[in-house]
Amino acid sequence: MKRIKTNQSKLKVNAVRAAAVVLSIGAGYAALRGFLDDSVCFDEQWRTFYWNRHWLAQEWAKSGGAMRLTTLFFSQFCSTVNGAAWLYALATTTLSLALAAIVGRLMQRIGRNPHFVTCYAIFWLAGIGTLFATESATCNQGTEHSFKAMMCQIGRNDWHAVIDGIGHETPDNYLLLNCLNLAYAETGQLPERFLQQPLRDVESLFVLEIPSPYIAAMLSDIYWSIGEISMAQRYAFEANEKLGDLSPRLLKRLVQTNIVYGHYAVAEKYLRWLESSPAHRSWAERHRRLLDDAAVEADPLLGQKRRCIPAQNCFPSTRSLPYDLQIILSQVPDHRPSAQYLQAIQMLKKQ
Amino acid sequence: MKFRYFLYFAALVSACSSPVEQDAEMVAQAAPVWPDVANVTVPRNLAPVRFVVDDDMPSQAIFTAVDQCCIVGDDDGQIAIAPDDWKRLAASADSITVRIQSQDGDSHWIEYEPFAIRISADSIDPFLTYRLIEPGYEVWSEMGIYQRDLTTYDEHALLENSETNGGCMNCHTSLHNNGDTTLFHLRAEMAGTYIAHNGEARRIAPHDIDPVPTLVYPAWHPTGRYVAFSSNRTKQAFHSTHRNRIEVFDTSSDIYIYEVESQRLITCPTIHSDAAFETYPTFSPDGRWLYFCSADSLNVFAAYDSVRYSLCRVAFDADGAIIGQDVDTIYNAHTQGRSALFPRISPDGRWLLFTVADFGNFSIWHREADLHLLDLHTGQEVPADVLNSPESESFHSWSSNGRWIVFSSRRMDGLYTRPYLAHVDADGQLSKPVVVPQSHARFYQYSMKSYNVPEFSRSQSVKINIK
Repeated sequence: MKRIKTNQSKLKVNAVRAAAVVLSIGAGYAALRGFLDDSVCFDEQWRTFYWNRHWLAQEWAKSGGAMRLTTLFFSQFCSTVNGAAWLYALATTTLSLALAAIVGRLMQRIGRNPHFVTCYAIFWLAGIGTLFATESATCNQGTEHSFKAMMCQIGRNDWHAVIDGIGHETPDNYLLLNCLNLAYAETGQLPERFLQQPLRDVESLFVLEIPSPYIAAMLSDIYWSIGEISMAQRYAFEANEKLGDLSPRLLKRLVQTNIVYGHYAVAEKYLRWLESSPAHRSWAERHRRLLDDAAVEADPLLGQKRRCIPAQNCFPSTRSLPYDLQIILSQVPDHRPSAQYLQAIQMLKKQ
Repeated sequence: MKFRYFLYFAALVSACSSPVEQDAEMVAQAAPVWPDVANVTVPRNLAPVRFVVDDDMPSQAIFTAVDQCCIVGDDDGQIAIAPDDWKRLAASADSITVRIQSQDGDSHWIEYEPFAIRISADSIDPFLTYRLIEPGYEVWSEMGIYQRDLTTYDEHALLENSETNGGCMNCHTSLHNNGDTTLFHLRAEMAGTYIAHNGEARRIAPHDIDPVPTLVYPAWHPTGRYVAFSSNRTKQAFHSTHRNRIEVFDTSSDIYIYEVESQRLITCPTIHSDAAFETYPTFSPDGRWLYFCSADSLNVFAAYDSVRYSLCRVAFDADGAIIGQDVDTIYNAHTQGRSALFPRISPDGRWLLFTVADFGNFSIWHREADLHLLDLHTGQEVPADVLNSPESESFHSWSSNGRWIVFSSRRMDGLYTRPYLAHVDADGQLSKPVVVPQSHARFYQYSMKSYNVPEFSRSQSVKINIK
């Protein structure tokens, strides 16, 4: 009888411990979820997990491959940012438990109370705190952090978040202005807002120097928005190449541009990759249905972008942009971002 | 316990059981195999050809050669015949018949029309050298020059740009299809033209012409004493509305001959003229002729689609390094209305393989670009349609015995260049080409690199070390 009671009380203690562990994982997730949003979301645009034997073998062979694969696996299976927060919370809790057990044993050996719960709480808080500190040190650095956040919002077509994120103070940085002006153009506010900006030249619409693939990706977004499909494709391809060929966000843009041009075979190649990614499979499957002309022309987005392709061939460039935009508008008069950028460029000329 | 052992045994037996020929219903339909390997010709020493059956059904292939047979079930979606089985079949016959059976119901099988894979007794050089790079525009990332063992699926790097501070590398070419002496260019930090002897690469230092031109498309003289180079000023622009994505054009180009021993550059007005763009040099196998492409020098920005290259040749005296003064026109762009590029002559000197595009000189970005074959004995073209596709066919080279060609084609998806092999018989008859086989049939569907400048090699090259 006594033994049964002892077992029951042990069971209760273990149940309480297990509940505490689960709770601490949940608390860790809740603490990290909002905080990791921008930085993790930014990273997830450029890499993802592919259920593909060639990719798995290739990644495994690289140095640090096992860790990278594990991170990508968790982050993608638990869906993007959520996954990373769960992974960090789980890792912190596991590590804290292990360390608390080791310290508890050591204290028992020297004849002292192990204080297991206290040790665990200290390690757990230290772990979560370290993650916060690391993320703050690497991400919350003014322009870079703002750019990352904006790129995530642009990736979600969340134009109001881009505008709201800037607040009342207009940035004096070309990169941020490029993002902001894209959001203004998409929401029909560019001409009026452009007049209020401290920096007003062509670079506040399109940066001319492209030192990183992320900037090329941003330019691809701008050109896609205004209907310059060949330039959108060019910058997406070059950014993707620089980022190791398999950025899901850039593969999606390459799928879109190739579908718009009717280059279905190569679009299908990129779709095949995206279909092997759990996080992007449904997007890819939706777009697989667009691999024929009738479906493209009926699609509200891609059909409109296809109508933006000039009837007469030309070599588009930043220099010829007003002329190219006029052509796009003559073909698709209701293509708002093209009209917005054209007005802004005309304002610059008047200046 | 006994039952558990029985289950283990049953699992083992089912795992080891070989597929058996099924009693299938014949359907009047070509087998949906990818890549297209139906009725191709392959050398006996090539690695096994692998393919997928694209019908979403469990499939198997029955390979038959004379009195030998091998049945292969699909594995991860592909029909991957084992190298030993392939060798056994290929050794005994000049053709392997392939029958594809697919299971379209619980116990119902269908069988497609059979096809043949012809086995040629003409062996192929066992190695293929190429550059792997994304089919990009102005930037680059990871790239390298690699060598593939065609008798297996093994590939090894000769030089990767991780060893050259990330710089671009291009235009590799070996003397006599032999990896012992290879030439290539590096761009960016370690820029220059290098010649590697047994893997030890040294930058060449040409002189006698000031300023020293940037050397681009190379071709060895058969004696190894000279290398002909073009020097090109190249630009590119993106089409907004065109069947081709981009246009790459030269605003000027000329040809120089580099004497390896003295490191001097020589040229003359027949190959270096302001009135013409001269490019893509190559020597005849006897070393007495220098072939090249030449176009009227136009304002390419205004008339890029009017620049068409003729195929020309001048005499070359290797003893005195003397370039002839008379130019023969082999293919006249003015009368033909098209542009001829990349002349490559078979080792016996009889066949001239070249690329023809509507205009311009960068045929890999021209979807209409096709290969043509000219009989230099008769001056007549022989049919080469079997090599071509609606997508670009461009760079090509000959095997050392002149019985095989390798060429770049974008036929799979219109963008990523893949190497194809085709047989050429003594009468210039060409076989249906086959893509260089890979250990997994779907490899090319996922590969994000292009196979650039494929060249045969008779021996395995050693890794290049830059001094």
